[in-house]
Amino acid sequence: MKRKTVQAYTFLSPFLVLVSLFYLLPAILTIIMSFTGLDATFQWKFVGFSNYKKIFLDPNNGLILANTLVYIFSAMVLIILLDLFIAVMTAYFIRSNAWASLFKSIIMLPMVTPSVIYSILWLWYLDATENGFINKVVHFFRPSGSPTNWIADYPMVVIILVEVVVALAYGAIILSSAIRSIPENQFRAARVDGASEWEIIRQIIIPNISSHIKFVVMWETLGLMTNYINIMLITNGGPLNRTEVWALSAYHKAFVDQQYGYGAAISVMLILVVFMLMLLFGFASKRVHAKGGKEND
Amino acid sequence: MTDMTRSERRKQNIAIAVMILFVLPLVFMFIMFFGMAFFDGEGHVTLSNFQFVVGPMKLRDQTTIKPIGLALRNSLLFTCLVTFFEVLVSMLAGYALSRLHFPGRRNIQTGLLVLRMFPNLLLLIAVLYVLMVLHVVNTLRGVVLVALAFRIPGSTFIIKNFFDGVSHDIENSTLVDGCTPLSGFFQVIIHLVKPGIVSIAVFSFMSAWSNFILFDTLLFGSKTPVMSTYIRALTRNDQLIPTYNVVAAMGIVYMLPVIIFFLLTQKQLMEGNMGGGKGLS
Repeated sequence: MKRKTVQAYTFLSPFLVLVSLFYLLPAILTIIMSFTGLDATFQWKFVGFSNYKKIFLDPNNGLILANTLVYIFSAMVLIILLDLFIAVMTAYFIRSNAWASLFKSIIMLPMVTPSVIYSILWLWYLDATENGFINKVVHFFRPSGSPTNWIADYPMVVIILVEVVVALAYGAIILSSAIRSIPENQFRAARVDGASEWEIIRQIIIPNISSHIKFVVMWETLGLMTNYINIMLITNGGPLNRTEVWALSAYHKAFVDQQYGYGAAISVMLILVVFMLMLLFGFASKRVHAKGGKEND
Repeated sequence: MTDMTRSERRKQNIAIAVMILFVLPLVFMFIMFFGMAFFDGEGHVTLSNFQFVVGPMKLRDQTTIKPIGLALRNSLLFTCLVTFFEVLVSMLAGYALSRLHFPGRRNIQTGLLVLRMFPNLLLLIAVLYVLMVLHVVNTLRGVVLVALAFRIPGSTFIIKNFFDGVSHDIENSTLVDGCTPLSGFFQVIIHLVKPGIVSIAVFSFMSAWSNFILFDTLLFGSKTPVMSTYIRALTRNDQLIPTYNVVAAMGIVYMLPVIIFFLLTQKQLMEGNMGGGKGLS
């Protein structure tokens, strides 16, 4: 019994060491830092709750919170609708595996493209001068007009679009394999009863994959809330904070303004929100993944 | 499928047409962008945009860029190290969590679920401090450690699911046949979870190769360039990107391994996706 325990912890030790050093310790440090005025000089001077007070007093933070909500909500709705659309198309209407996997691969392309290249792709696509792709197309149809600065004029729309396109693949693949696992008989029976395709989608497909949909919603919400890389690379929060979101502002405060304490406080608040969401969703993933794991063997 | 009715076939054809229209803008965007790499400013076909592969290169706005060699070497080194250790560490941990019984197992399993979803990018401020204390700040070694740590909860979770699928009888029979648990693991069990190993290796490779944020925040100065920071440095200045043609050429060099891997392992990528990989961020 004792030997087995030693053996198990030997197997686990590299995992536990890495997790302690780069998850647990940083998590504790972040909380401690959030109560200090830590800056570029790295002196731990405790300042009580003043970083947290600053969060509520900073007038910019209202805008940042509003941006975050608009961004997460709009992107989420678009992602789920498009995921459902792609999944129903590739798993229900298109029975040919070759076509279905071709489409899924194309949709995975933005996901496997490194973010540095992916962002340049969009910067080129929406470039403000006549070098930009969209401006070239517009110019072709309307030679008299001057080029539009898409990113400066519609920054929020742009980053929502960018994030939706890159996030599509994950959910689409989960949902389409969930649809593939619905027994064919259910569809046959419904057709015999004279159900239209729309009714089949609403009354058979959606109820059958609802736990997967919930999982995708949770996963994407957490992703949108905490992953700021594409926004950083494309607008970097600008122009005038119009696309600054919560997670990105923690990064900016810490790594650009070097206010590590203040940045840590913003991070702590966001981590708390993430934890509350995780509890709210009640680890809905557990069930889906128990299934997902089985399909793999 | 041979048993499709005529109406089903008609619907499939319509669906294929709709999906083609749906993905067309995306395909077009990628082809147009990377196509630029093979043209010069006047629209003639050329390979001169790839000059950075062999030596320093002068751009149209008179700035000179360094050859890509060092960045390529660093990226390869980083990616190989992270992939190798990620597979090793997560396999050991996944095996223990799936197969061995020991006090604390339940807690670690629950912890794994939380860690897998934990927003690790928000910890970077403190991670930087930990690296300073460990004296590996601003080194490639330090970033390898962080990248590894950030990814192992996800891959441990995936490989644990694969181990859960291996029947206990097989494991017991290795013991009966005279294996120790350790030799049984390396001689028998490992072969049964090969698809899982491939799956996490692919994910690990792709994510390490495309990583940007860790290098951007944890390596200062351009002492240790990697592919992502090398390309980003060219496009960082707010004024226009010097020449899209050169950037597109760099993009091709950077994406080549990704595309090859992607084509070879699409199936594993989709399965790994199902098993709960964290995507590639």
